[in-house]
Amino acid sequence: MALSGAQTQMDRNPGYYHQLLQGERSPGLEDAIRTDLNRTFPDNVKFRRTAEPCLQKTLYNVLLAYGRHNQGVGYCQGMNFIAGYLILITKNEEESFWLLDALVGRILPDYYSPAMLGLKTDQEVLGELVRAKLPAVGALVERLGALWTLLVSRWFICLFVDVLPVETVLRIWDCLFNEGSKIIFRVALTLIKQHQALILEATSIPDICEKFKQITQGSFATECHVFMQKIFSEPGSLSTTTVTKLRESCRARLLAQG
Amino acid sequence: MGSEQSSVRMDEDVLTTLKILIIGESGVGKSSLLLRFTVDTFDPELAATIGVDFKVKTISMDGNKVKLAIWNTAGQERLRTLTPRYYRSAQGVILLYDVTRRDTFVILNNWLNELETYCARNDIVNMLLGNTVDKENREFDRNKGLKFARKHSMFFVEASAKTCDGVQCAFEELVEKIIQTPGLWESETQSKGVKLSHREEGHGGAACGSY
Repeated sequence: MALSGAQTQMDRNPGYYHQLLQGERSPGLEDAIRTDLNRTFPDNVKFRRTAEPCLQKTLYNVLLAYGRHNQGVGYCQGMNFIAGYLILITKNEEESFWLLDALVGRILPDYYSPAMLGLKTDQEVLGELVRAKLPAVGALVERLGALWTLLVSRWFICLFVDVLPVETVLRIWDCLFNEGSKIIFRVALTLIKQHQALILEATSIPDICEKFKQITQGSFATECHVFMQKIFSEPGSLSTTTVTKLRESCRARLLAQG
Repeated sequence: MGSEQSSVRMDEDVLTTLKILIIGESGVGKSSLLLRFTVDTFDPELAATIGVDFKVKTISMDGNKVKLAIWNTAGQERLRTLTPRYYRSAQGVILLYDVTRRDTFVILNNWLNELETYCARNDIVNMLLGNTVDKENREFDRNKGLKFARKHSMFFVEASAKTCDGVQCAFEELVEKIIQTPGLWESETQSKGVKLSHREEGHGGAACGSY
């Protein structure tokens, strides 16, 4: 809460969250969120419709308030999983809202607005980093004509929720809140590098999609302590300057493509 | 469904590989339909699909094996902007709506526009599928769907991924129509320059690894 600036925002804006919830109705936003309530962590007892207390209502409130607060973003699928995690972690509705704001509004560069330009950019940035650091994988992806978005969009959109084991995701999020969005590339590069041999066996697009699912499972991802050490050693140097430059060039390229 | 590896091994006697898309508004049951067709199960508690998912299934059609790569997307519009290329090179599309949800039907025109914009070919086989017919609070009767489908030259099926009703027959009808339109899949095979070594006279097809 403190490091991400969420606490400061919450202290500076007393009552704001509740004002948002009591604001004017927004039917489109409400329907979109409601459609996903039953489909957010359906395996978690606390998110069941019949649970008491039921976190679906909390989730609905956080997402609705956020959609009203940041109207440029509204609600994007994937935010339900992120908000759901924040609720489970903080056990506090209003704190979850401010943490979601820290993530979506400040830490992640424009991932969820309708054009999803920041997200598309970061997928391309990962592609560039793989080409540079793991050229064999880069070449294979290119040869198969697989889009990076097919392979990793879920990683970026859900920030590894329901992709990696819970403990590992929580450790990654610690870094995300502390150090910013660069960590996502470290995690992605580490997963790819660690399983390079397996990925290189792929012979078709569905095949490589399947491999990218496989590499998030298994003991490597579960051993979160070792995993966190690896993400800082395996991908090698990854300076903020490099990431910033790549983001600029990839973004320009995407905008030029229309 | 067997694993991808096992279906790859069977490629030698596969007539062709077809790419089929399942599209439609968020929450109409695209993932449930795919799950029912590929592994014959129903999970009422399926998480929302983020990004793109696919399953592979090989079916027999008049004695020929046809491998289907069935792609399933997230329903929300902004997530679809991630994958416009996903529409290209598809031979068949199943457009879903939920017969109990008016919003998922009235928006079908938008989906057709999207298909027109992104699909590379115009002879693609389209099917309209009204899902969740097992539910009692139906908003649209069969005729309404049928009328829409006819107007837009689409096949029409009502189905329930939950009860299995109509699911198998929807896919079979779609695949049959694609196979009856050889230009759709033969040109695909040849334009990719795949070796037609397993092709036999009068057999009229080829193994193909394209998606």
